[in-house]
Amino acid sequence: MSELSISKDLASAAREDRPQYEQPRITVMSDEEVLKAFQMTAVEISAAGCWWMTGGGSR
Amino acid sequence: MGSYSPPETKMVRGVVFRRDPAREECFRVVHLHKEMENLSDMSDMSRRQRIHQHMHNEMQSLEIAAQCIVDFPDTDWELQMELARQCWDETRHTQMLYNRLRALGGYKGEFAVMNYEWGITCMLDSLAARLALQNRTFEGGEMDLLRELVDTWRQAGDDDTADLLAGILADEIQHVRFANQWLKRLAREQPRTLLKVAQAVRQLQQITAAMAPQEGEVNAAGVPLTGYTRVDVFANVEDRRHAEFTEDEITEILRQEGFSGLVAEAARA
Repeated sequence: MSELSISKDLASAAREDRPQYEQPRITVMSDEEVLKAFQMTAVEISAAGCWWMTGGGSR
Repeated sequence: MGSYSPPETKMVRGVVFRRDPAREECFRVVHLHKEMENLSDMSDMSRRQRIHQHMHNEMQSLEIAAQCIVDFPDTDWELQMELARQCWDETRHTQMLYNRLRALGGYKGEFAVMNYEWGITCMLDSLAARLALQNRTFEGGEMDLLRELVDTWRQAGDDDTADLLAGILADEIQHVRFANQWLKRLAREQPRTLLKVAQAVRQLQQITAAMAPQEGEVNAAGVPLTGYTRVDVFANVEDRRHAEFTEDEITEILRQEGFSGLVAEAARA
């Protein structure tokens, strides 16, 4: 196998590793749907380590 | 109101925050959670640290609401009045927590403080975005937390602090409620408001990821940060209803918290 064919195989393998192309899509949302979707839970907010702690004992 | 740049800003871990507000010299201001001295038990020192930190967070809430009035002077008078009333509430909360701190033998400046919510919220260039983060997200989450903290303190035998936190919770509901009312009104009048809300929440999610502690990181008190941040706080459904989150919004929060089964069951009932 020549060096050229090896590099072709590698390039082909790299292409296969790429995620499938997804068609762009537009989602139309009402105001209620936007407010519903863009929320964060207390646990999500606390992931940065801010002041939220509920009580005795490390978790 | 335009965007902010130095010297009005500071950078921490690649994230640009609004520069810290002025503080009395007794306070030691830090910029990373690992520099804080949060303890994970209910020892005497931990109780003082918790109240000290809560006191400082109420100060921040006061300053954020006040800065909104300063930064957005053309806001409807009714909304300015809501923010002014919030300033009054947060001032009382700060004073009550300071009194409680002193009753437990603590003092102002005993522990390090951090202006996290201020730094994020006050970078936002619209009032809608600030209401979405400070009132609807941070204080919304605080409602969930406070309900559990009331029980935590009561179980620890401190009814005075438990009662104090229950009183603060009642006020926070109103702060979240007026933000929900106004965001919906502003969205009806100007749909672009929703884009500001979405951008603000997405920005907070990105900052949260950037500021999250690394595995194995411990804070200044030696407490593992990746351990204690996994708190068991769940949606305070009753108070979220009082704060005028819709049933769909509450259902979505419950779903995000992993209660999909419960939500589906409720929907079938």
